[in-house]
Amino acid sequence: MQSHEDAIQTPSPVQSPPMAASPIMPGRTMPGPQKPRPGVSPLLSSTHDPLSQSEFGLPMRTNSAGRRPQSASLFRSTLLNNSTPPHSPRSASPASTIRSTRSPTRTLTGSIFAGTAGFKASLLDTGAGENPGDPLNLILKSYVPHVAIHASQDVDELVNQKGFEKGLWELLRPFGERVTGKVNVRDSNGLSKQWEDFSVRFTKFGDRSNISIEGALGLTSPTGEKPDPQGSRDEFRIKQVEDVVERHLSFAEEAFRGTVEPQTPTRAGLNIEATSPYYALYLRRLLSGMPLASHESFTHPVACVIAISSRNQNPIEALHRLYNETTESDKRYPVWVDGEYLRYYVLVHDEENSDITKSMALFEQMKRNFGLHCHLLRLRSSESAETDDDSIPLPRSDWMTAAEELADIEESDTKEDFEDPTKHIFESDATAIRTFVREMVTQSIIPTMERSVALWNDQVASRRRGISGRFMSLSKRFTFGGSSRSSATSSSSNYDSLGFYRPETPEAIMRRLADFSFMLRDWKLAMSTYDLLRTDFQNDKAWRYHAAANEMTALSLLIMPQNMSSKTRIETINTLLENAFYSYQNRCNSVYGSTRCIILALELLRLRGGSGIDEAVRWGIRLLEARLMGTIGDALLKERMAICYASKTGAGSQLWGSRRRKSALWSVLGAEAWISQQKYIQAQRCLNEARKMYALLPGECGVQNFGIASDFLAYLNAQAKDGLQQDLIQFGEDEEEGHVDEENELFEGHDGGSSNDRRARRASLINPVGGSTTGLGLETAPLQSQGEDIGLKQDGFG
Amino acid sequence: MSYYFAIIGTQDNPLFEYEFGTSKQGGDGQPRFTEQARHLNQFILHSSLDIVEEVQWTNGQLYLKVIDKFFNNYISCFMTGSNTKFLLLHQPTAGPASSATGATTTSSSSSSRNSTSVGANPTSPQTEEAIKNFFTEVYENYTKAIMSPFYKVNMEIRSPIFRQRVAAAGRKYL
Repeated sequence: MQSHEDAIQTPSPVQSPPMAASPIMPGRTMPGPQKPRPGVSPLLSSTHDPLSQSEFGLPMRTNSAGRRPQSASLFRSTLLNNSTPPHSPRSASPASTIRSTRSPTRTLTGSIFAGTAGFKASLLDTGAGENPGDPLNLILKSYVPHVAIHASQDVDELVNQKGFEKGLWELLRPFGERVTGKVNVRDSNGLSKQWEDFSVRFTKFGDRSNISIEGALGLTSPTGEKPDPQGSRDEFRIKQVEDVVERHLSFAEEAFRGTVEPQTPTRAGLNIEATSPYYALYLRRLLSGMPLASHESFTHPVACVIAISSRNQNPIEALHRLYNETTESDKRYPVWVDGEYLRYYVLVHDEENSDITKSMALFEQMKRNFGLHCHLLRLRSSESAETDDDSIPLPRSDWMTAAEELADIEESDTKEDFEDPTKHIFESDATAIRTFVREMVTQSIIPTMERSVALWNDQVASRRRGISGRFMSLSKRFTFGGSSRSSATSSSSNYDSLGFYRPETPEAIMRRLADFSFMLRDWKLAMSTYDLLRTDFQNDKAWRYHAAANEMTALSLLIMPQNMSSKTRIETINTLLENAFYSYQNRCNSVYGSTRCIILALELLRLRGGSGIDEAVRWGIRLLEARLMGTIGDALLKERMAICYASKTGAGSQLWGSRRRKSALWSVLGAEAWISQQKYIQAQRCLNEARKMYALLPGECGVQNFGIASDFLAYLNAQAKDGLQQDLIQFGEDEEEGHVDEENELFEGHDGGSSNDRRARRASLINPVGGSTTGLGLETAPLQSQGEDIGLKQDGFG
Repeated sequence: MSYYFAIIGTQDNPLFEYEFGTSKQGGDGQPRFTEQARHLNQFILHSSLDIVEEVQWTNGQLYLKVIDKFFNNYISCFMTGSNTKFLLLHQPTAGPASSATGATTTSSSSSSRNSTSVGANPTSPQTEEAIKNFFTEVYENYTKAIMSPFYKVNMEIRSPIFRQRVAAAGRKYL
């Protein structure tokens, strides 16, 4: 997950190509003691890590050949973080160094005794969102402009030749996730701000898989699919997310069998800066599955890339045809999506088969016909192999949806000859695409968005904001003449009987305005607009809209800087969240909405520190009580609450006001949840956290003095340990099944020899777990050889 | 309604633990905690000490009322002068937990009446008052118990008389 983002972010990404499978390996083969612990300061560990990274790169790949390295790359996102603590190896990248220097300021403001200082700055200025994988960063990266890609047949053919079956979209997608260089964005006051981590999301035009059900009503030409009830589809979304995380967890469980050494509680405390990779994955998949819905316009296209290739015989006509398809074909967006989005025309030039002068001429013609939003993209049409000199691996998209990832994983499970899905492209292609994306974003998309924001703000929102606008909405509500209110609202409301606002209504425009300014990170404008919309939607009883507007008001209020006292602020946010949660859950029955809303709010509240942390946990409990998530989400959330409480720092020598006992309690609950799902590694980790927290207490005895509680803790510990050892035994037996069979034959004549022998082998296999100094890898090769050794010895005794 | 009462010493060590049920409204005074809830109670109570440490500075009173809530468990606190804390965990039956605790005939028949009783609303003034009375009485007895010349700070209170008196106070007020 981190690897390729860093690669794109560094000025010369090509020199440091993102490694596909190799970064996973260090954790697997490196002996335990050498593994940098998360508690080690970045300074210390970074002294040798960058080196070790590259050192280990190559040999690992061959080492792990026995254990399906191909599928390992599917689980890169979590494995990577698992094996390398987020602090250490990549501290060379600018982002993380900034973060590590800044983080103290953030933790200082967290104290409840230190007053309300934490609320004065925008969350973005506190450096909390700079690490990819941090929840705030995930939020920023998920609420980004969506760009649809509509390519002609010939472009898809060209791209297919390069090895991308899903067309241009698949090729471009990873590049949208980080626009190279700084991006200048002007807010509504004309102040410009630079963002380094701006991104866009490429979607496939005409892809209907993502449309939420209530949206299906708005389609002019229903494609025959029967809309199932909103709730079940929504739950399915969550379930898929859970499934993906479950797969990752099981993979880790399998891959890390036996390598988890019982850690001694030496670490100074819970590493609150590091997000658990599984939790980050959960969030990411949750957010990447944002449905295309009428009540929020984040997933609506901001622009559409219309692409043809130089092979096209009638290029200009093809462009016209594609354009028309975006406005009136069956594939076009539902009616509640504004059709006036930007069209961006791209000519893909085939470097190997076409004449560049011709393409240039055609491009000039395109510019004359379609205006300035054009680009000439020069790509080579042949497929790049890994062995090519100038090939670089194309990173997998971070923001694939849960369904896609699930499909990939299932494919890797079922297919015998599953290949590493990492694709390679030519360096020159990568540079071309990067330039194209940057140019499109900085010169077309952002200016268009800025213009729209200014226009809508001027024409629609400011009118509503003024005193007359308030009066207007009042008069709308209470029509003169005393007619019954319900009839008055239905007649004058823009809320369609179909259940959505048409895109040209002021409400829909304002929602778009707010979403645009949110995506451009103009929190203030976004917040005030959402705030206006809230009441409108409430009056219209448009509950889905109401819930979403409340949610976004709360989120932008949490992100933006404000001078309100923390108490009133928290109260405001609580009411907003309450409204959102209630509307999502009770009125709309939307599991996805309520889960997303609470989890994001929880994260932002946590970052706000102080009493925000207590509120965050309170909301977490609400979510747990509502039982919206499955078992995995439950356990992850419990683990997260422990981190929430751990990030609350106390004051004075006694750390009054910290929440160490609470944190430990949640760790224990998390461990319990993991053990019930047989995820022993996670459980062990939780238990370690709990132990560390208890060790930090003044008495240093934790719950030891409470009889039943400490018994339970011991029981959990034993369970986790047993579980890990069980894994190892099974693993060992799986691996040497063949040998056992042979030996069984050998021992057939001896009485009960085989069972004894097996027990002996078990013991010998268990030992390394406890010892951990041997640093027994989980690779098949060493284990297997060990098994053989034992077998030989036994033979000798037999 | 079930209660778990504990006296916590200065080192987070329990000096005295007692579980009981409500005696009001036809309750039989027996706790209705599940086996699982019993260890959880201790964890919850222990974790509430975090809140106690914070709340004790905001309030000059010994009785701090309900300081913490964990799902359906409410925790009331009473500080003594010697930094020993009385914590009472109360679990209203009229909630989602009632089904989990396996409602017996008595508790199910009294559930309708429970809605107006002491336990139903843990933050109501009546409940607060009742718990305060309970705490005050226990405090009195506690002071007498620790005046024993053989008692040292942070020593477990093993006196059976004290246990009886706490039980009596529980029956009387809760």
